[in-house]
Amino acid sequence: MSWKFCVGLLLGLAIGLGCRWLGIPVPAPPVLVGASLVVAMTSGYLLADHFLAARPARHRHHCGGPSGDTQETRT
Amino acid sequence: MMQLMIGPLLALAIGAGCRLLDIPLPAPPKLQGALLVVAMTVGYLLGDQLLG
Repeated sequence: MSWKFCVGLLLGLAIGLGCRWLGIPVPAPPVLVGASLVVAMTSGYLLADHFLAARPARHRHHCGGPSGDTQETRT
Repeated sequence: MMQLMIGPLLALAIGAGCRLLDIPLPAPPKLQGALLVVAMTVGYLLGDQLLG
């Protein structure tokens, strides 16, 4: 765990404490179950990302891209 | 109890579906960001305990 991540976690804790102390709405779910649902959504996203990255792109030649080619030069 | 079991599964399915369909995710796409959300919630709950 890098020191920047530790600083981020401490900053998150401080933001949560400060929001409760000052009566400001917190930019996160105020219940631990809601925050764990956010983690579950991110985990599902990363799992699907891992699954997609494991397969080669078989239709890359059908896709366009920022190559600078115009439609006239392709045909 | 049943809702607590369905919730994480639904959240996992939403995250996977957003990645598969290339839809923006209503959560941080990195695990560190999601853990920062948890840290904010824990800080809020700690403040709740301290302030009564």
